[in-house]
Amino acid sequence: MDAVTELKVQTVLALAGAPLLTLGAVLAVGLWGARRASQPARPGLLAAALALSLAVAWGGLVGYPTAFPPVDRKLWVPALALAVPALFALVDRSSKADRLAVIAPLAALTLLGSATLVFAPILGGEYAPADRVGFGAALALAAWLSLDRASRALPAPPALAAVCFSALGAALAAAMAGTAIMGQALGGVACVSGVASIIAWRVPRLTLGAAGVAALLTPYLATVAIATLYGELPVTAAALFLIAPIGAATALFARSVVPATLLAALTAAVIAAGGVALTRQAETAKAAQAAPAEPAIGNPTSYDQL
Amino acid sequence: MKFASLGLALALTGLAAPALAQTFAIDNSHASVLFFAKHFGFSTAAGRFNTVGGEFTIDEKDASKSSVKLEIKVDSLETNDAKRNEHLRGPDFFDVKQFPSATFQSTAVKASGDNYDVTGDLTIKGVKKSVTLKLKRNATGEDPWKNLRTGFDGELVINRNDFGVNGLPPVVGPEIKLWLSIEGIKK
Repeated sequence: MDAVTELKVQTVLALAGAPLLTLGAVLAVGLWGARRASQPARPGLLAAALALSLAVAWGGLVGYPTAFPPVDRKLWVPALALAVPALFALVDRSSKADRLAVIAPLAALTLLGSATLVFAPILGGEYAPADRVGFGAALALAAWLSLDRASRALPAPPALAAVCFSALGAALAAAMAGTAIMGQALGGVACVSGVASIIAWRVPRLTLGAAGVAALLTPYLATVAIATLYGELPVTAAALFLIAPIGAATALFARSVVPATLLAALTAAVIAAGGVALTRQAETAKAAQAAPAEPAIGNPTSYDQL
Repeated sequence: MKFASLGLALALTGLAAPALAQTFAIDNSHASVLFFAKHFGFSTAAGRFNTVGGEFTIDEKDASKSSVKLEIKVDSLETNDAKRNEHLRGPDFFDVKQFPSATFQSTAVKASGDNYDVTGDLTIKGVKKSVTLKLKRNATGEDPWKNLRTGFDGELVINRNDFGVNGLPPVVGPEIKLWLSIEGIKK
């Protein structure tokens, strides 16, 4: 196999193959078990399947931690992708709790705690000033609460579709901004949430719950933040990507699953498209300012044509 | 007479000491650290780090007492393509915001004539590995401003995956050849 084919195969396997296999296997085993016991699917089944498959996608594309704590702070993400949904599963188990009163502070603490773990070397410095991090956390919290509200009031597909299209836009923008691997990681989120949306549409007893929302948003928000603070994704575009999952809230205006899902997907896609446009604009401006490379002789190729 | 002898002995010791172990500060204007990597196996792409600092000590009598300390500002990398420079600086490769420097600190030095095997800890992206740098000493002498200078050329082959620089595996080959030339000014 030549190197170009190897690249394509590796990317497809890491981005879609292994994560979708994990998603399918966990859901198949869970649903088969529930069927045998003549019970509805467990509330945490979809959340567990999402958390595992997204951790597999992220780890396969970016890497797994080889030390504890990880030397490369980015490698906290696969661990957080599993730990955060597990924490929120406790909220799902306590049906009597006033959900918003629990979810809001828990999500805020999770966002700040995760940001501290992943961005400790640069937090408060030139690349991640406190006001910028605080603003981003506020937007992420708004998206989290909105997605949680939508997931409680509606079946799972609208929330999953909103995250799918948000991640798709963010993936394009991250790749344009020079972080191809973060783009692929976001592509993994889009792929898993998109396929999960179709599965949840066909199997309506699969519900997201607080743990499912956490499973979707933890790798998504973390990757957008990494592409921005460690990479060069423009801050304005990142703000749109952080808030894009709020599109799920528009699904509350629809009466059935399919229009609700389409509405959520469309709203998220429109917001994310704004982020892509801003990234393109910033990259064009940057290219115009950059010192030209030594002139090529004959037929030049650019790095973008890799 | 005794005091005169003692004074002479101390003076001779003082004169002899610098000749045994001399410390040189690396002159960034005359230091080059180049890296070479395979691009899809088609060609070898080259780049360089423009900011290199540190110092080295040479003990002419006992090479094992020599040492090398290098610091490379990874942000200073240059590959003649602005987009590629940005990509290499970003989280896919060197992640320079998180890991701004790469360092080398020697732990053992062996010499055979002008050839030195310098074993030490190379730290890239926060990952420390022991490597052996093959250095060849070039000329030593005074520049027109009476500064004592000496320099070395050397090379090293590393596997980038060992240091967590593992982005886009088939695009960039795992083996990275580093070639360096450092010139020091006696402190």
